[in-house]
Formats: sequence, structure tokens, C-alpha cells
Amino acid sequence: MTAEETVRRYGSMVYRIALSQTKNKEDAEDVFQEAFLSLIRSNPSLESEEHRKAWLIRVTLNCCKKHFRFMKVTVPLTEDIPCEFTPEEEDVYGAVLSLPQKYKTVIHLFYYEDLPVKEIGEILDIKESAVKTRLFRARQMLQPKLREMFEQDE
Amino acid sequence: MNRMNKYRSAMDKVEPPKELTEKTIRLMEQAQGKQAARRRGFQPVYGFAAAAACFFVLLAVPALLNNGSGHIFITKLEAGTHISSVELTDGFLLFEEPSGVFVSPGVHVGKRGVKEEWEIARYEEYIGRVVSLPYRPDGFSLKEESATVYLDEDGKVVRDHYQARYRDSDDGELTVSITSGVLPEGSDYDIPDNSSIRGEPLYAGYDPADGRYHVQYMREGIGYLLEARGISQEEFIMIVWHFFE
Repeated sequence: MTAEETVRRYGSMVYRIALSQTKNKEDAEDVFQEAFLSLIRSNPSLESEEHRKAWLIRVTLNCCKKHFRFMKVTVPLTEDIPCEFTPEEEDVYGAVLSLPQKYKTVIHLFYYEDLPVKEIGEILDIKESAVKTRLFRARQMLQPKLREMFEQDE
Repeated sequence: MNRMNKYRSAMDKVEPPKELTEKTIRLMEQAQGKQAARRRGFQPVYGFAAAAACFFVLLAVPALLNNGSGHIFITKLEAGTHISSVELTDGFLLFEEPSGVFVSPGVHVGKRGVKEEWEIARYEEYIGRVVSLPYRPDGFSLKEESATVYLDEDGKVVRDHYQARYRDSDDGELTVSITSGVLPEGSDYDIPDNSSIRGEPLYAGYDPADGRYHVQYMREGIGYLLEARGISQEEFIMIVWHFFE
């Protein structure tokens, strides 16, 4: 797969993960570039497209972690939403992004990337049971926030 | 949770900016071009040496990779270049070529007072860790080692510096420098960390001008600088990785 094909195919996925982690357009753009350039620099031997996707997700998350470690930037929530959301979408997006890092990561991979728990565990290098626990706790954290938001609308 | 559909529909609207996509593709193609140029620059005259090196790598790398704490490398190092990134079981290293002029202060503030040479065991007790390398390449042995401290009028340590030099019978050289509170002398002071091992940030670099690999980092209030010449990148990574144990 050429560089162009790779970016066209996985660009949205990488950017969405980066944005959900960094909550900031500029930082997400830095992570986006870094993740794809890592693919060229590392030139990993990837057996299939699933492996390539998993590798990119892992590297993107690593780049985000690195970014946090070095920048230590606190970004206000949804300050920098790069597109038009409905009020409901904005509420849910904000609620997910307000979760602690490890919880919003599993929420994004499970609910958005549709990855099975086992695969999420492999990508994050944690046990399946840990993924399930994080999903459970993330849902617990989200429920009151979302309920409150939707009740307000009603 | 049906409301998560709203997260999905929100995320569906998020797309990377076109300029970013185009720029990234361009940068990737440039990086690929550089790699290809490096490969083309490979001279046939080195064929025998390369074949011998490959043979050695085939024999030696599995042993290296399985040394000590099991598999260390997740991704392979990029063949034919020292400027590369590699994922490890518990971190990643991004070797960068130094660009620009870095500032090495040379003399630390506070390096005044009475100078004392300490026994290594005393110094290890002072900083709370063993300073010898848990892993070193075959043929390397300790040639010089010193622990110097500077004491103020009350006999309190105001600065310390440990240095060890390991050499092999050829031109391989490995230096470990440790100082409490700041990065040791010789570190590049104005560059951000670019890598991580076991959750600790560090800077990894390779200077083609003198063939030097180095990493520098602060961990638990102690500054470290590990430098090596005349060894392979794999060996250097093994040294660093084990030093983090």
C-alpha cells in the first residue's frame, strides 16, 4: 500500500483517535503526522490490513501519550470542535472527551471503531477483563452526565 | 447505550483537514524517497561485509532479543539507517539526528565546595540505585569509573557526578554518566524528550558526525546520559532497556 493509499484509508481513523485523545485540533494534527511518519520510519512487517490498522491505532495512542507527557497542556472541552454538531452530538462528544484518558480510549475503540474487546486488549496490552472493567466504569461515568443532558433537553 | 450513537454520528463528522492529509502524504513520500536513496547509496564493494554482518545478525539477534527479560523489540529497526524509530515491549525509541546547536552548560551551578571522590558502593547508597550496567555487549569491560561529589561548608552534597567508561578490544566505547537533580554534563539541554521506556520520557539521538548513539533522561530526580560508539543500534537499545529495569 502506498503512502497516499494508507493516509486516505486510515487518515480519518487516526485523526479521530488523536482528536478524541488530545481534544485539540493542533495537537491532533501533530499526532496525525507523527503516527503516519512512524509507519514509514519503522516500516513494520504487517501481515494484513487488520494488523496495519491495529499498529496505527497503537502508535497513534502512543504518540498522544508522548504528546501529553511533553506538552502538559490542559485544553478546555470542545473548545475546538472542527465541525458542526447537533446539540445532542455536542453533549455526548463532550461527555466522552471529558472522561479520563484510559476510559475514553476504550469507549472510542469499542463504540466508534467497533473493535471487539479482545482486540482492544491486544492493542492496549491489557487483559480482556480489564477492557470490560474500563468499559463498565466508563459507562457508569457517562450515564449520569448523559441522562442529565437529555433530561435538560426534554 | 443508544446515546452512544450520537458519539458515532458526531465522530463521523470529524475529518482531517485536506491540507494536513496532503502535507502528510508529501512528508511520507519524502521520507520514503530518502530511504530509497540510502539504499541506492549502498556500494557493492561492501557486499561481503554486509553479507557477513547479516550472517552475524541472524545468529546474534535472536540471542540478544531473548536476553534477560524476554522479547524487547515489537517492531524491527529500519535496516540501513541509524535514524529510526522502534517500538519496544514497554516503550518506544525515536532516534533523531541532532539539528541545530545545542547548549551544554559544561559547568553546573552549585558545583563548588570541597571535592571528594567516593567509593562506588557509597555513591550507590547515596543515589539509591546500582550504577553498573545490567547488560553490556560481549567483549566490553569496565575501564574507568569514578564518583565525585562536591560538599558545602556543612558537609552536605551540593553536586555529584558518576561516570563509567566501558570499552571493547576494538573501537567500541560506552559511557554512563549520572548526576542527581540535573542532566549530567555533556547532555544536550535544550531538546525535548522524544521517546519513552516504562512510562518514563527520554531523548534518544544518533549523531552521524561521530557515530554516537545517546539517550538522556531524568528519572526519580536523577539525571542519566548513556552514550555509545562502535556498537550496533540493537545493542545500544538493549543496554538502555536493561538499565531501566
